[in-house]
Order: sequence, then C-alpha cells, then structure tokens
Amino acid sequence: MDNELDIDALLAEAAAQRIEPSAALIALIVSDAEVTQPQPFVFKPVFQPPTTGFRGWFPGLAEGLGGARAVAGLSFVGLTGLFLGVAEPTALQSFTSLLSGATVQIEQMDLLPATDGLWTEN
Amino acid sequence: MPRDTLDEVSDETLLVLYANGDPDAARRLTGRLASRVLGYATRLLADRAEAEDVTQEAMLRLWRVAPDWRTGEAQVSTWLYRVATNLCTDVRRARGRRPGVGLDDAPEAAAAGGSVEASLIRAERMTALHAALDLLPDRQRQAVVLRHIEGLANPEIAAIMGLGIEAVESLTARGKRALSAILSGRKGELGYLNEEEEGA
Repeated sequence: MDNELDIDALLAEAAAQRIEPSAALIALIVSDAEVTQPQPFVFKPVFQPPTTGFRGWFPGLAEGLGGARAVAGLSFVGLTGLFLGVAEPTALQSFTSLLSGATVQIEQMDLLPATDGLWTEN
Repeated sequence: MPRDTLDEVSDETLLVLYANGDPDAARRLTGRLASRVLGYATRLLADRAEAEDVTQEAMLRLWRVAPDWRTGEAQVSTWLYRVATNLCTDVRRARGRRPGVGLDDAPEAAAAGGSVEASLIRAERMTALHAALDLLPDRQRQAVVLRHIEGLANPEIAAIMGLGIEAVESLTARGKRALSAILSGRKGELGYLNEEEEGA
C-alpha cells in the first residue's frame, strides 16, 4: 500500500466530514452580531421648520425674497423711505427742493411749417 | 430583504447588509461561515472547546469590521480564515505545544452513517490524523489543512497566510511528507489493511 496515497485518502476522508457548530455556539455568535450591529440609518433633516411664526403665504414670499434677513432689510428700507417722504425732515429740504426745482429745457422745433395760410378762402 | 433573495447574495453583500442594519444577514452569514471556521480551528487546535472560542472571536471581529469593510479588496471567507489562523496561533503559543491528542479531544464530526465498526474506524483515523497534524510545524499544518481538508486553492491560501504561491506549495508538500512519515507504521491499525483484503 502506497503511503502517499494513504495520506491523500485520509485527508479526503477528513475533508468529507463537516464539523458542525452546536446550537449554543450559533446562539452566541448571533447574539454577538445583534449587540455589535450598527443601527439602521434614519434620515433626519438638518433644518427643522419652525412650529410657530408666520403662516399662510408669507413664508413662501419671504423664502422667495431670500429669507428672513432679506425681508428685514427690505422692510427697513421701505419704512425709511416712507418716513422721509411724509415727514420731510428739514435737513433734507434743500436737497429735495434742488431735485424738485430743477427745470428741464425742452427745445421745440417745427418739423412741418404752418400751413394755415394755404387754407384761407378767397 | 426576503429570505430567498439572501440565499443568492455573496458573503460580502451579506456583510454590507449587516452593516446597514439588516437583521437576517448576520444569521445567514453565521450559517455559511461558522462551520468552516470551526472545522478549520478544530483541525489546527485539535480541541473542540478552544476551536469554539476561536470561532466566536473570529466572527465577533467580523461583525466589528463590517461597517468599515472595503468591498472588492478581499473575500470575507479569506479574511475570516486569516483571523482564525492568527487566533489559533495565539492559542497554541499560550498553551504551549501539546504532546498529542487523545480520543476524548477528537473533534466531533457529523455522523456519516454506516456500521458501528466503520464509525469507530473513522473516528480512530480522524484522531490519528489530528494527532499527526498536531506534530507538524504551524505553517505546514495550516497549509495542509487549508489545501487538503478545507479544499482552498493555493492563491487563496497564499492570501490567508501572507505568503507566495510557491511557498504554499512547498509547505503543503513538506507537510504531507511529514504526515506520511508520522502515520507510516499505522496502516493496519487504521483499518486500511482490512479494506485492502475486502477489496481483493
């Protein structure tokens, strides 16, 4: 009997025999897996819309204008203009009179000469 | 993911599913891999209890590495065999070299059927094989078990052991020669002579 062949047969016999883990070992491994398993990823939006504040059409308009800061800036400029227009502070009167007193010279020229003389009867 | 679908996916995909929180993936991976690791560790250590500890630890390391697993770099089974190899080496270093394996330490293999006498002969052969394997140097034992019992190809063994393919071939050949030398006088004791007589 060839010794080399014996070893091959013996190794093949060993390869054919599965060594099965016990139920207790499987339970331990699965338990480890459950403890170690990362939690499923849950999407959480970074921006949380405020639960109080403006409602209706205004939030959409404010967002379209560029957000709360843009709305605040526009409001300030608008109110300042209204104040200047209504109150007309003295310090600004010379400036406003200069603007309102400016005259515009428009030169007129006759492109068509008068034809009244041609229409006289007799 | 449905169970039927999990049967068809690769180990790597199952590991990614596990990392993403799929509750069935771990159980499925355990079913696929634990028996292989246990068989390998049992043959390297010739001790069922130590092999179970190694299996549990290797699988635990797999669960821990899952979130950082780089797909396409290595097969899950290759990675697991490498971890098991290192753990077995540590165990053997810690306990010192055993003189041999007794019948009580023989790994319990799944029943293969046949008569009681045949089962006893099979058990005796396996005990003798594990005792002989135990006498080999670590690297030869690993190479022989991976090649001839686990049935892996030389490139995969090379990846597991961190060696070149030629080195694996050399280790395997030397390991088999050493096993032949160890078991050469036990042909009749292991029941091979009876089989030859029955076959004649």
